[in-house]
Amino acid sequence: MSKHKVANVEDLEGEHSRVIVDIDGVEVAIFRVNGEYYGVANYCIHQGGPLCEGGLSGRFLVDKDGWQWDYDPAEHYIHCPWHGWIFDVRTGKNPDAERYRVPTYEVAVEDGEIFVIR
Amino acid sequence: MTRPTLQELTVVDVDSHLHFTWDEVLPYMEEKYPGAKRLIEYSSHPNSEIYSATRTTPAWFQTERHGDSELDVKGHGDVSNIDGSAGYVESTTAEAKLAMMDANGIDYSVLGTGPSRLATVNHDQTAVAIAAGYNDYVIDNYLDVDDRVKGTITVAPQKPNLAAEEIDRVGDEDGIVGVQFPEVGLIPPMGHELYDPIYQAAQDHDLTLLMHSGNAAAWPVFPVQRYWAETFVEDHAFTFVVEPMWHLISMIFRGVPEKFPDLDFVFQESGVEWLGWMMGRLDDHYLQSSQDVPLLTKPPSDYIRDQFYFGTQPVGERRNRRETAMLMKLAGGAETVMFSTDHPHPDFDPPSNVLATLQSYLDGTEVRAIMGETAIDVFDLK
Repeated sequence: MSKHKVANVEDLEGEHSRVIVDIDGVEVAIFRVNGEYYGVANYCIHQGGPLCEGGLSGRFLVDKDGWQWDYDPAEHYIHCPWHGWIFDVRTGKNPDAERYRVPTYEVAVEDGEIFVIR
Repeated sequence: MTRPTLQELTVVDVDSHLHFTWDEVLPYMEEKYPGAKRLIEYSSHPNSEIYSATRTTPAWFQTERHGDSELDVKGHGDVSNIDGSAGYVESTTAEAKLAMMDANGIDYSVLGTGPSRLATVNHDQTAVAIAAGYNDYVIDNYLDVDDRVKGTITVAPQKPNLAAEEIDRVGDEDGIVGVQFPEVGLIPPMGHELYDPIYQAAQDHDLTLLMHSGNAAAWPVFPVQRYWAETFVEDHAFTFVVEPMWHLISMIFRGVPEKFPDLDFVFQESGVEWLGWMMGRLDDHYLQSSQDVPLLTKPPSDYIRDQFYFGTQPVGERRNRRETAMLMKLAGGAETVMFSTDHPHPDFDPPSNVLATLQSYLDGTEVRAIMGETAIDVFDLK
């Protein structure tokens, strides 16, 4: 495992800002979501699309009567721009089906620099 | 590798028809529904004046017609069929059914489908009356004869709250294992919340929900393009399959199995070879658009494998029967497929033929499950 510098803190200051970098041949996206940094593989396990070029959003829910729609605005889901598969940037998990998960990467911040540990 | 014979297997038929005339059922309506009873008696064409049933051309024109004067089907017509064909005398008593079962190696039969055109009855009170009259007739005549013959009750979907009361009234009778839900010609489709009281009652009483395909009653609502069919086969080949597909999709995406996780659903005579394709299609849709259906907590194929079952009849005709068995495996095999005859209809499947097909490709465990062991679990037969 080694530290790979991917950006400076000022490059990823805005909420939902992102950068996509190549680390040893693997494309990794680093997002800023809800004030935190997350590293996610830029590869959709559905059919190989550029997952991290998609939009970020919250999630539709139903309330306990099973009818009224609700929206959880914590915007930590990335949508693949090809077919709309959703993955939680914090865990890489697809909230719709446990069997699907994309790789995630540890992100560290030191002295104003952002690193991916891989 | 051992190949069990029919006699060695426990065989359960999950789609075995009762046939009966209005004359047999109407007396059961006199006490609580005298008005509806008289309305039906007054009609000379109940199939078009009580139900809305019609065919493009006569059904199964090439098969033997065993018109039987005892059944009086040319007068009022019987409750559930227009034609009087195909050895119906075997389906008019439990004893006759048992004789057929013994001749064919069938250990248990789930009898139905009753007035499968009930959803097309325009007059709601009459629909409720027919369901109650039929249920009392079945309980009186078919149960308490032999433990191997199980029955189902039916309900009028027009009045879901009354349907739930009917399930409360007769659902716990000894020998009743399920509720026939009339899906043919039903609008809105089965996923609509209107029907929740029925699903709740069936779940509360530990009863399986059964849906039998049809086409004679489907025409007013589904599919509209049936108006251009020229013959029975064009309509039947399509409608029997696609209407249950619609109800399956409706129930899955509206969250019926999510809301009623202990309820099992059995589709009869809708074919099963298409199910493998459908599971993949629904999962694909779900993963691309899960925010359309926030009620769902798992992919559609998981709900299907956990709670949905499909009768084998009618098995498609292929040059290589191994391919049919492969399609049944892709459809979920032991998890979803259950043997059925559709006796006595002309397109029935005898168990010997279905067994041979399954054995051409599937292993013993899966064959045993499909021929009866899955049904024993689902209907709690032992």
